[in-house]
Amino acid sequence: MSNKIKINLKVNGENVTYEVEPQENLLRALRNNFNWDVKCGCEAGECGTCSVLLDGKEVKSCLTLAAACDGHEIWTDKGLGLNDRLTARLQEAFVECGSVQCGFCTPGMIMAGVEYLKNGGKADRKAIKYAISGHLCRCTGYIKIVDAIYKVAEEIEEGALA
Amino acid sequence: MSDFEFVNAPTVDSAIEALAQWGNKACLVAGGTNVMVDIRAKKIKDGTLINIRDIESLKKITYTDGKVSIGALTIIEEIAKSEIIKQHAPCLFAAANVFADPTTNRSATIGGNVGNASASGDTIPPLMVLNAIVHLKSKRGDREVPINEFIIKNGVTTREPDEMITHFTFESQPNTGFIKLGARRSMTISIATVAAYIETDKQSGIVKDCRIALGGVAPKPVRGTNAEKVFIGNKLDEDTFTKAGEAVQNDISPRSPSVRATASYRRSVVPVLVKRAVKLAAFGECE
Repeated sequence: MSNKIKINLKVNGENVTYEVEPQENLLRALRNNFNWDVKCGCEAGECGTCSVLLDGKEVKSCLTLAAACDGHEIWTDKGLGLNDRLTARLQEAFVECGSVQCGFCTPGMIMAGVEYLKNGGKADRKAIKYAISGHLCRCTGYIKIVDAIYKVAEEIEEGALA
Repeated sequence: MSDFEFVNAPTVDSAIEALAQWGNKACLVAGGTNVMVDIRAKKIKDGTLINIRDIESLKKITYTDGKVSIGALTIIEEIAKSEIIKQHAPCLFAAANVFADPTTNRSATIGGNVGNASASGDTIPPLMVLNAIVHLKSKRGDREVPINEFIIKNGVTTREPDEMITHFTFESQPNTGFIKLGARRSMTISIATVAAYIETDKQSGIVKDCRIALGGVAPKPVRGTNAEKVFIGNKLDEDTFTKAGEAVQNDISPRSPSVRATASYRRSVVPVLVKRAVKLAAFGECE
């Protein structure tokens, strides 16, 4: 017996219909529908790599019930990078600063950075560290990730990214 | 194949209707930060998941006539930014600011944290010293339960299966403080937390009234009644803090072995945390 339900949502600007199980998390729903830029790490809310924007807010998709997203809007790292200038710049800054080693945490870190910068986050290392503190990285030691977000925050403050 | 059902409840009325219909099989899902983890760990194997995430009327923080009201679906991030909470309930403000991590706090709700009733739920000790009232609603009617009577033991509350928490109310209490000890700054379950409410006589400095609540150091969040008795009628000096630190040992019952810290470690740190929480409540700083 299958009790799958259909949900209508907007993913990366496109209206889509997904078939999901009642208890399925948003992470699996997205990955089952080819959004492989959303990474599956711990699937328990610890690592943050599955983060997406839900109605413009960065949340952990593994902690989000997919069925509850019916009628809502989701942006992933890849989709946002192709459509949003700030996100594209932050992705570039990650490359420039060497913030990507194995790369597994990167999509989540980008989402945390975007959330921070979009809400007026300043070039402040302590505040950036707190903003990404729901995300685990086992390679970089976090410094270079903070560097990248700091760099873009500075650019925004200088008006270079108006 | 799954044994789950899904019901969307965009309003309070539709949520209590669904709760009445599904009874013991019903599981409310707001942010999902507890429920989704429990489903993945197969601690929840079946049931009807009632989505209450979109009930906008339960996401408000208001202040009228000396009383604060917080909707059960208010996310922790909102509480951590709220000027009302900062001014009228500094202990809850502090707890929201050390809660989980910023990403999780955009999903996690205060109603979920209290309803989950973990022994180390970070918003519970602050609500206990604020003498908060838990407002419950079902098709049978409304019910009010003091938070200090709401939690029976770890994970169990007096909430009936057909009831949902709608909001919390408490009086404005600027002289409260909260301190959390975890292994890390973010995304950490508390080893121990202490919330305190202190009222002192301005001239003599003698404590007139005091409430202390502790999380993570007993099978459920507990009031530090023995420590409270030491503070009342005394000045906030080193002698009082030492005696309170001894008295509070009779309020707590940490388990050993435990996953995050040993019982002896918790017994050693609690007096320090009580002192700091009380200083935060009385003076706004603890060093």
